[in-house]
Amino acid sequence: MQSVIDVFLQGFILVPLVLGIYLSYEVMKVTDLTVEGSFVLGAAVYARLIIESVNPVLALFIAISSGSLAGIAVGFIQRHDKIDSLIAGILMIFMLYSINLQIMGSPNLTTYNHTTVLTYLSYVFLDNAGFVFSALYAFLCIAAVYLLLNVQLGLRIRAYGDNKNLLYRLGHNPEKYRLIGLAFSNALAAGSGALTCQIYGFTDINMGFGIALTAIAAWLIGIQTMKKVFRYKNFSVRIDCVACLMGALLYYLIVTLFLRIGVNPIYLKLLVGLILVILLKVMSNKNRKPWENNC
Amino acid sequence: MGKQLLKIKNLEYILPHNNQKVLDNISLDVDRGDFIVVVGHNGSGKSSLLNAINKNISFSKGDILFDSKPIKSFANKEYFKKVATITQNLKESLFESFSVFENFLMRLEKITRKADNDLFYDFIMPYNESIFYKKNVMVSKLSGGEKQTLALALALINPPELLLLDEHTSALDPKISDKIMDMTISVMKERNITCVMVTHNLEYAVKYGNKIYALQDGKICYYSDKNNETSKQELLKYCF
Repeated sequence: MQSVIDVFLQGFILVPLVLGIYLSYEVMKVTDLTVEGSFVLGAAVYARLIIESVNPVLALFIAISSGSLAGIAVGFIQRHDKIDSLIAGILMIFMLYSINLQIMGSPNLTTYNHTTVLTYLSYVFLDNAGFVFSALYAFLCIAAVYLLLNVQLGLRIRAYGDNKNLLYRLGHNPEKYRLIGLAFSNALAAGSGALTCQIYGFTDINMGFGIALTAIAAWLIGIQTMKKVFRYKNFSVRIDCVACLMGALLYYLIVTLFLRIGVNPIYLKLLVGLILVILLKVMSNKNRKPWENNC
Repeated sequence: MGKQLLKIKNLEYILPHNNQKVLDNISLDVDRGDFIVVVGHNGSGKSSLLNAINKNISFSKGDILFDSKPIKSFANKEYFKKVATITQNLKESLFESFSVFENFLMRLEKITRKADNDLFYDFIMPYNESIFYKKNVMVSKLSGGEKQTLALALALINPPELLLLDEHTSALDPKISDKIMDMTISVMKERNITCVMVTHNLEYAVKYGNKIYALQDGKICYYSDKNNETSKQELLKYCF
């Protein structure tokens, strides 16, 4: 039973990050790995502010905002596609490492003895506070992304990913929507980092290592599963949001299952990667060859 | 409001990467209500001319005046309200991963779902009933004719003063192509929209154009207006 709760807990923590990856990778069609740095940034800012006795809710808000600043910064680096989004993201992770270290003052910080948002919730939910908080947080983020993509701003962020030139010819500045989209995406990642810091009570400078790829893996598992289940091909915010949740939960379910059957943790990422390759191969159109016409 | 809508003066455009002159001393006038047709062989500079009018390329010499003002002096948002474009590549005119309705919403200043449903009915129904019923279908799933009709309907939601058509029927079969052309002409006349069309179809050029320009190596090599009857054979000499 504890394993199931752990799967849900870890899955819920990952959900905001998967939503961030979904926004950049799927909606905006930008391969932005900055989330790996902004995840740690969110955790670092939150831990530092909590240690400095700042109000936990305000600290959470500032941590999330710091992520959106990182998103805006990488948006400026990518501006007019002069620097490839992948390279810009890697550069940003590189720079954020120093910034995060500067914020933290040491490679790791603990927040055990300090008051966080989780502390307030633990008065009501006692031992289940972590689970309730991460679940609430995940569903809030899902609701926020769902709402965003259903209003005009979200439609224009989607339009950026679909056809930048047409967006420009309709009189909108595509760069504006690149910045807004990346700001949302990285704010979600920073939110995920701040949540991790609260649940586990510490922040480590290396806690973001590989987290972007974990989120991409979770997103792919989620979306491919949903496509198989619902047999849909159109863009649907509703199904995509559920896919983010499902993906995060399934990812940790797979990891937990491997650990339960005694797989050496060293091989964990290799096995998850292989499962992903098999999943993508199985779910793709088996009969189509790239040199053949679709018709 | 003057009679003249667009004036192109000694326009020159040189490709930045190989210094090739694509447009060479082009001058032409477009009056309100005109249907200008530009013909020419591939690489003659037809699409570059439309791209220059559409602010897609920055020309090296000359000027383009819209309503007697240089187009560079217009803010993009203001300019693209006055000038709409439909190209042969519909990926440039439509958001392919959007539904028909979402494409419609992208053309509106503000979204108010309920009112916009009625607006959608009013705008799309006169063009094609079947598209109206495919409201939630992704644009990439529509047929070529449906996409072209939708692109035309969407371009006219906020009626532009100038409509640029870049071989917009070239990918369609002759029957659908004729239908789209008839629809374009009737809408244009009904709403008093000025048109500049680039085409390889000489029949359309002779049938619809009240001014015809032929381009060759970036220069205007032939011009004809209503007072100067043009035949298809005559145009063939300059185009192929």
